[in-house]
Amino acid sequence: MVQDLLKKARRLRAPHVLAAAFLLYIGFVALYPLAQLLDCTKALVRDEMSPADYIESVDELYYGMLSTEQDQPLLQNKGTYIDLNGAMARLMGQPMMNERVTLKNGHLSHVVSWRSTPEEIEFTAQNITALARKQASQGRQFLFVLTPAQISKYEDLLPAGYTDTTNETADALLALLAQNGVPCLDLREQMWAENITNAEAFFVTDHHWKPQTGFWAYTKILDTLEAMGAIGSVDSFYTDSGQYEFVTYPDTFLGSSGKRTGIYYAGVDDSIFIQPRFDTEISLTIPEREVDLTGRYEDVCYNTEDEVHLDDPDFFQYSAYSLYGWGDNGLNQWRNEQAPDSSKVMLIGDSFGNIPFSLMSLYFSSCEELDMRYYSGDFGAHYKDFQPDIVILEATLDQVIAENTTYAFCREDP
Amino acid sequence: MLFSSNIFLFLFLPAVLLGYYVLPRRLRNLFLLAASLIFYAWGTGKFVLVMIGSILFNYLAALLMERSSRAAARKLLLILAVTGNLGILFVYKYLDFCITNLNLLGFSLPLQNIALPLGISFFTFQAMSYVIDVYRGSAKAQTRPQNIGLYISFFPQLVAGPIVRYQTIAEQIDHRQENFDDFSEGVRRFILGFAKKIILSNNLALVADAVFSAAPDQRSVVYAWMGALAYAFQILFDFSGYSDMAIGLGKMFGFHFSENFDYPYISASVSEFWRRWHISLGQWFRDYVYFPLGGSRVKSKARLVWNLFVVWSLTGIWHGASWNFVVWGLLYFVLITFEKLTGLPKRFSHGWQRGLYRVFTLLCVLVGWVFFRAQDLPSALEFLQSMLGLSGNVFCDDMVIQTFRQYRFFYLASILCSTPVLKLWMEKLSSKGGRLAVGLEIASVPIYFFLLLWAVSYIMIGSHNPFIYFNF
Repeated sequence: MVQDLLKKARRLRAPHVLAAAFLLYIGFVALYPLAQLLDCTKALVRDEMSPADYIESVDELYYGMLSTEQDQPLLQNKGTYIDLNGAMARLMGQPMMNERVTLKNGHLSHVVSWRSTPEEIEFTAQNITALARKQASQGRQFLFVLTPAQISKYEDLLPAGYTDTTNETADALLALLAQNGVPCLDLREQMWAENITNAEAFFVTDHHWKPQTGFWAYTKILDTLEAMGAIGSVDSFYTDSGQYEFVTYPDTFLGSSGKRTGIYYAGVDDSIFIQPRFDTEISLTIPEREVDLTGRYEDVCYNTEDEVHLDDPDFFQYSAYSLYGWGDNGLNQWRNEQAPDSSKVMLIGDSFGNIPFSLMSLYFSSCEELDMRYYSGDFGAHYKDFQPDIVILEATLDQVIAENTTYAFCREDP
Repeated sequence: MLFSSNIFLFLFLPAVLLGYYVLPRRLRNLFLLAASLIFYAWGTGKFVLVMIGSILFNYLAALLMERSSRAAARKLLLILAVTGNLGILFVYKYLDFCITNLNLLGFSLPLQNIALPLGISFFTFQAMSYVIDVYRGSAKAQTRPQNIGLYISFFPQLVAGPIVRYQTIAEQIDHRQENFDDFSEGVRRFILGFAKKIILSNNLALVADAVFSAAPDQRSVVYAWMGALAYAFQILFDFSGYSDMAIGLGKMFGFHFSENFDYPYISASVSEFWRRWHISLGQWFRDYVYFPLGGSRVKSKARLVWNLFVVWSLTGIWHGASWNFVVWGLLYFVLITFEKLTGLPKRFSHGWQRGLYRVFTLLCVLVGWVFFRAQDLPSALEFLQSMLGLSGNVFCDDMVIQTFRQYRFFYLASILCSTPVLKLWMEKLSSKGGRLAVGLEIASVPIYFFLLLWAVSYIMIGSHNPFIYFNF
C-alpha cells in the first residue's frame, strides 16, 4: 500500500498540487461563515425568511465574510488581503489605493474632487449664521472653528492629475460667514502663520490631526475666546505644553486610510496620549455608553476598555484615535470643579474635536460635547437645560457641506 | 451570480464540486442542472422561468422534429423553433429598441421597459444550435430533458460563453470521463481567467470609465488614446478571462469546451482578428448563417457582399440593442469585405507592408471599441474627435501622468498577456527539459496561487468589479 502511495505521489505534477491547494483554500475560507449560513438556511426552510431575503442575507454575509479581528486564521482574516493588495500597490508604485491618495508628503488622504455648489455653501453659511445670531441675541458667545484638512491650502501636496476642492469651499464658506459677522477661527491660517506643516500636524495613515495638533488647536481656541472677550486672560499654566506629558506607543496605530490600504502601503503611526503633569480630577458621563467616571484626566478621558490593545495592536480592528474621549459619541458631559474658568461651554463638533474638547475639560468647569451625527436627543431642550455661556461649533468641511442636514439643528429655536 | 464574487468562489463552487463528486454518476447531470438554475436564479429571480421555458420548448421541438418522418413537417418545426427562440430574444432585447426607432419615424408607441434576462443571447443561440443540429441530423435529439437543460443552462458558459454548439458537446453530456489531470488543468485555467478578469480587466476598467465619462474638451488627445487602449484591454481580459474560467470550470466537471480567444490583438488582418476573437460566436454565425447563405462560394461578388452584410449586421446587433453596435458591426462588414475583395493583406509582398497593415488592423479594432464602449453614437463620435484633437482639447495633461503612474503596470502586463510572448517563452524553456523545466513547473504552483490570492484581495477590499455582459 505504501508503495502504491509512493507511485501515486511520483505521478503528482505541479497542476495537481495547485488543484489540491485551490480546493483546500476555497474549502477552508468557505468554512468561516458556515454557521451563519446554516442559520439563514434554517430560517428559509422554516419559512421564517422569504427566498429574496435569503439571497440578500447570504449576499451580505459573503460580501463582508472575513473578520478584521487579528486572532482569526491568516487566510480568513480580511487584513491579510488588504495588506497583500497594499504591498502590491506599493510595489507597482501606485499613488492611489482603495480611494486613498498618497500625497507628496507621504501622507494618505481622500480627495474631494466634486465641487460644492454655491447654494450648498450658502445653505451651510445660513445654518451657522442662524446659530451664531441666536447666541448673540441672548448675550452669549459663539465661535466657529474650521479645522484643517490633510490637503493643505498652502502646501503643494497633491500628485499630478488630482484635484481637491476642500479649501476652495472652505474659503467660500468663511467669506460668507465673515460677511454675516460670525466669529471664526480658521486653523488653516493659524497653522500657516506658525509654520506648522501638514506632515507635522497629521497622522500618515489617518485623516485626523495628531494629538499634539489637537493640543495646539485647544490653545488657539482659548486664545481666540480671550481675544473675543468671551473669557478672561488665559491661564497659561493650562496651555503650556511643558505641563503635559506626551506618552508615545511607537507603531501601534493604523488610521482610517491605513485600514483601507494595509500596513505595507501606508506604514504605521505612533499612538500618542496626552497626560497632564499636574493634579486633575475630572468627571465624564457618556449616557449612551453608560460611562460615568471620576478621576485623573488620563484615567477618565481615554477609553480604558480598549487601551489594552496598545500592547498588542490589532491594526484592523481598533483605532487608537477612538480612545480619546471614548470616540465619537452623541453626548459627552465633562465636569471639573478644579477648573480655572467657571464658564459653561457647549462644544459641538465631530471627531476632530475629540482631543481639543477633552482638553477643554481641564479649563472649564462644565462642558457639554455634542456630535450631531450621533446625538439623538432634543437639542433645543438640552440647550435650555444647560444654558451655555459659550457655544463652539467645530467643523471639518466635508461634514458641514456634504452632510449639511447634520447641521440643520442650527436653525432650531433653543 | 458572478464568477468574480465571494459567493461564487467560497460558497457555490465548493458546494457544487462537493455535491458533484459525492453523487453517483447517473445523478450528476441532474445535479449540475439544478446548480445551474440556482446560479442563474441568484440575482435574476423570475427570469429563470424564461430559461426553463426555453429548455422545455427546445426539448419538445427537437424531439418532435426527430420523430417526424416528413421533411415538410421537420422544416415547419425548425421554423417554429427558430422563430420561437428569436421571438424570446426579440421581446426581451430588441422590442424597446424597435419601438424607440419607430417613434422617431412618427409613431407614438409606449415603451415596454422589459428587463433583459442575463445571458439571453448566449443561451438562445445555444438553444438554436441544438434544434438546427437535430434538424440537420448532425446530432440526435435528447430524450432526457435534464440533459438538454444542462446544455442550455450549464453555469460555466451561461453568462458570457463560449457559445457551445450542440454537436460539439452532445457526446460529453452523456459520456464524459472526469479525471484529476483534467480537473487540475481546469483549476489552473480558472485561476488564469480569474486573475485576468480581476487584476487586469477590472483595474483598466477604472481608466476606461474615467476617460469615457470625461467631458470632450477636458479629455486630452493622449488621455483619450489611453482610455481607448484601456477599454481594448478591459474587454479582452474580461471576455477572455470569463472564457478561461468557463473552460476551466468545464474541465473540473469533465467537459471540454472549445477555445474562444487566441491572442486577437496580434492579428495581421481584420479577418484574422475575427478568427481569434470570440471564436465561438464567429463559428456560430459561420455555421448557422454564413454557410447556409452560400458563404464565399457564391457566383457573384454582390451576393458575397450581401452575405457578409447579413452576418456582420447580425453580429453587431447581437451585442446590444443600440445603433452603436450596428455601426460597430457594419464597420467590420466594410473592413472584411474590403479584405475579401482586394485580397489584402495577403497580396503584400514586403514585410513592412504587412507590418503597416497590422498596425492598421489594430487601429480599426481600437476605433471599433470606441463605438462599442460609448454611451451612444454621438458620444462615440465625440470620443473619436478627442482622439484626433478636434474637440478643442489639449494634447497632453496631468491626467495622463496620473493615469500612467497609477496603471503603468496594468498596461505593461496587458500588452505582455495579449501576445503569446510569455507562453512561447515558457514553452521554449520547458521544452529544453532537465532541471529548468522541473523548476518552472514547480514555480508555477506558488505563482498561480499568488495570482489567486492577489485577485481575491481585490474582491475582499470591494474594488470596482464591473459586469459588461448586461447587453448580451
